[in-house]
Amino acid sequence: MKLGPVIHQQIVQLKWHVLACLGLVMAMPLEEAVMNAWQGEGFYAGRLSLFIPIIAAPLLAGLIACANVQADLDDKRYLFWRSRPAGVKTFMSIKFLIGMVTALIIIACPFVFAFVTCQIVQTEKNEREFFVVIAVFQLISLLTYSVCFFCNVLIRKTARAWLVGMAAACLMMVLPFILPFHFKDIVGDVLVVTSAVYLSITIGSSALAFALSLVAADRNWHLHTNLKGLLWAGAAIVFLLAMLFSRQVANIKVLDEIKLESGWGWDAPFYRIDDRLYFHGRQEIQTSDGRIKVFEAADWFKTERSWTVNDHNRPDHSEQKLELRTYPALHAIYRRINGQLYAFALHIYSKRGMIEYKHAYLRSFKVLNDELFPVSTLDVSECLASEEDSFNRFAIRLIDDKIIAFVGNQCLSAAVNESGEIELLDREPLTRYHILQKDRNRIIQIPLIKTDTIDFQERIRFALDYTYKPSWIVGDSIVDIHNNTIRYYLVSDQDVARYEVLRWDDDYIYCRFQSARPFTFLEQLDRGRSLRLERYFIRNGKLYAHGMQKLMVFDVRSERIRKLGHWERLTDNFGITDMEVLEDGNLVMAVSTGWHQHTDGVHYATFTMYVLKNPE
Amino acid sequence: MFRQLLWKEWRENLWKLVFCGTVRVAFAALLFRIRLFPDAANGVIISFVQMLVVPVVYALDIFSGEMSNRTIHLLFKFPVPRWKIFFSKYLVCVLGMSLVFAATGLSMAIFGHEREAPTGLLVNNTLLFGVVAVILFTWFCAFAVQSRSEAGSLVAVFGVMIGWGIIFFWSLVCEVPWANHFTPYSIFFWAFREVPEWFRLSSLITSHIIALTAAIAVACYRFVKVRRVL
Repeated sequence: MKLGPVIHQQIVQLKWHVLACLGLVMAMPLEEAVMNAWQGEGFYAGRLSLFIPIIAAPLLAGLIACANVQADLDDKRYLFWRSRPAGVKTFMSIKFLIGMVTALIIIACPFVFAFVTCQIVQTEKNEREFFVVIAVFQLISLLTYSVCFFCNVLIRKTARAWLVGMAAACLMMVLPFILPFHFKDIVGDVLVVTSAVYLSITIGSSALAFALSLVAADRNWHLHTNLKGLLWAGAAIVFLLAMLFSRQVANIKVLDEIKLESGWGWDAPFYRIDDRLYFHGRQEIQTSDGRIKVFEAADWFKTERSWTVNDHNRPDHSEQKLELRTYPALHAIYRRINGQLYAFALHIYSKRGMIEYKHAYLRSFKVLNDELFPVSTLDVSECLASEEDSFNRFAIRLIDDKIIAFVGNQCLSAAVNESGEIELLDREPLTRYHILQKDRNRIIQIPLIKTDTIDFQERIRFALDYTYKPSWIVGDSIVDIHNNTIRYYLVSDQDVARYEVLRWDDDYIYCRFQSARPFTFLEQLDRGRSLRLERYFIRNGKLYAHGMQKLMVFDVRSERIRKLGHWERLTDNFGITDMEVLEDGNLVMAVSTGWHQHTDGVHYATFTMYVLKNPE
Repeated sequence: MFRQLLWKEWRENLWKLVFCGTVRVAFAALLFRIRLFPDAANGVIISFVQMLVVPVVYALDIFSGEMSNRTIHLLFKFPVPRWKIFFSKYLVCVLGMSLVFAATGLSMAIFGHEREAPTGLLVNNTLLFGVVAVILFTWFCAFAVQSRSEAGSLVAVFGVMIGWGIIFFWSLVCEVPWANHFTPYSIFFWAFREVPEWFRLSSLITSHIIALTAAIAVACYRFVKVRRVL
């Protein structure tokens, strides 16, 4: 077989397709260049004009492939050239290569034109991303060309082969990102960063499609199709893919939602008081059967900030211009004892605007007829570190009827009696340490708090929570204690890591990294930003982690960490402010959605409250 | 006779209505269930994809099917003017597309009821996209009424979509208001609260009535002139 005439025949066969495609991809760059020249800026095409060529390139590559095959594989011509002394595989290889080179040249034309004209006029700098985008779209075009080529050899109807080929190429490109293959190396923007996996998928699929084309042509495979069946099958596959996608990133069901307004700004946490849940310190949340209701909170709750700041127990503090800090921040820990509701808090006074602590008190209050009455005050100022020693730690947690608190450089333990009074039990010095260990293979040593008033498990829990998440110490825990096994979990922007407590002695807890569940590509998708899961906690064997726009729920008690649910909202004016697990197992989530200006000119923050079904 | 032609086309294209309606409602249910985007954005995504897909499904074999199966000769033997044959096909397609978009709008209104987006907004946006789809299909008819293969129809329908897209971008970037008023995609601006300065509803409607009348006339003429040697 003479190669020269065959190549010539192939090129002549494609000339009209080449001209049409070239006209399509070059229309916008040429138009922009002419307009720029008309306005006196020079004859060049900027990046704006490359938008349509970029999008159209893979589609046109597929079209050229189909046209290339169809020209010689319709029934009559196929019989003709099979009667000639030509090797099928050689003929198809020449056909494939000529079409591929033609397609890639056509696709490169607008980019080369833009690059050259920009270089000549020296107007827009072409950065690295520009060339990466060109390379990526050449690769995608190679894939669509090869797959469409194979589909047309098989189906032998241009339009159907093109549709099937494009769908198959799309499937190959998105499947690795949709299925939970845990490709840790697929991070970042897929259009800018070419990863090894992506590259191998593109080139591997193209090579496979080419090989299959040769076999199909050689053995005269012919797939009979009808339009109706193809469309139904295509739609079913796309729908299945969407279902797979939704299993990964959005499978938590919304049971109910309501809109709220608040004049108190964005910071809108939930407060759990006894068995009631309050939002923003102003509204009480009630849920039943998945429905949500909001009521105005009691007056004492709304004015709580004023009683803590006014500090009626020690009026002289205001004269000394001292500043009050409360732990937990702004509010208190609430507990019902014998039917009566009490509030407990650690109050620290420091010089205004300075880190110089003067007084510290553990206080309890009785909630009666929507008012707060002081019950007891325990002066623990002597625990504060001296001015020379800056080691001051503050934290408080109520465990059964004991208060465990870090005040200055001491760990206090106090008992709460039946009338809500606080009584100091013991105090021990805190161990100074910091953990900056990045090597997961090493044993981690964490100081254990020294008190005998609570059991070992709670001591370990407190120590671990304070070590890793001191600001969440009041209500949240990262520790899961189950079947005498103590594990804790850390969430980074890469994975959820599980650590196991191996042993402990009087001074330290010894822990070891056990396993990790890396986030998939889709889980890390956050409009180009990092994952930033701002809060996470363990409750009843489940890890709840949320950032501004996503919430994920993991089962941490199974052999490997399994994701149970995912909520995601890809929009800028959407920020999860807080979430809580309800008594009935469902989740309640508060989301800030923007501002709203009333007719009186006052701006109100708008929120949406969701009740979500806790995934199992 | 015209009613019988309409009935024939309706029966032949009913599967497209069922297919498009089922697929759109299924995807609307999925997207409104997973709520990856706000409801309003979901509505736009579904309607936009639908605007690109539904005309393609209807266009693929509406004219070329008769040509490639050679049933066009039998059809032309009917004692009925050819322009009536064309209009029976065109009207059934327009009706089918309208029903698909209405079904999608209605399903989105049901799925998004008492949620974040006003129901009227979802339905209105979907119907606007439906209008654009019908206009694109009309332009397709002008170009591909004599098409003999699915490939020809496919190229024609994508050509219309991409071609109007290029004109739309060009007229926006280069600020050519009269061209803007002819592009099907400029109808989207109707959904905006604050329309651009160049946007005039009366001009938009008038331009489209004139342009579409011309397109239908050209399509009808070309269909009447289909040669018997096919």
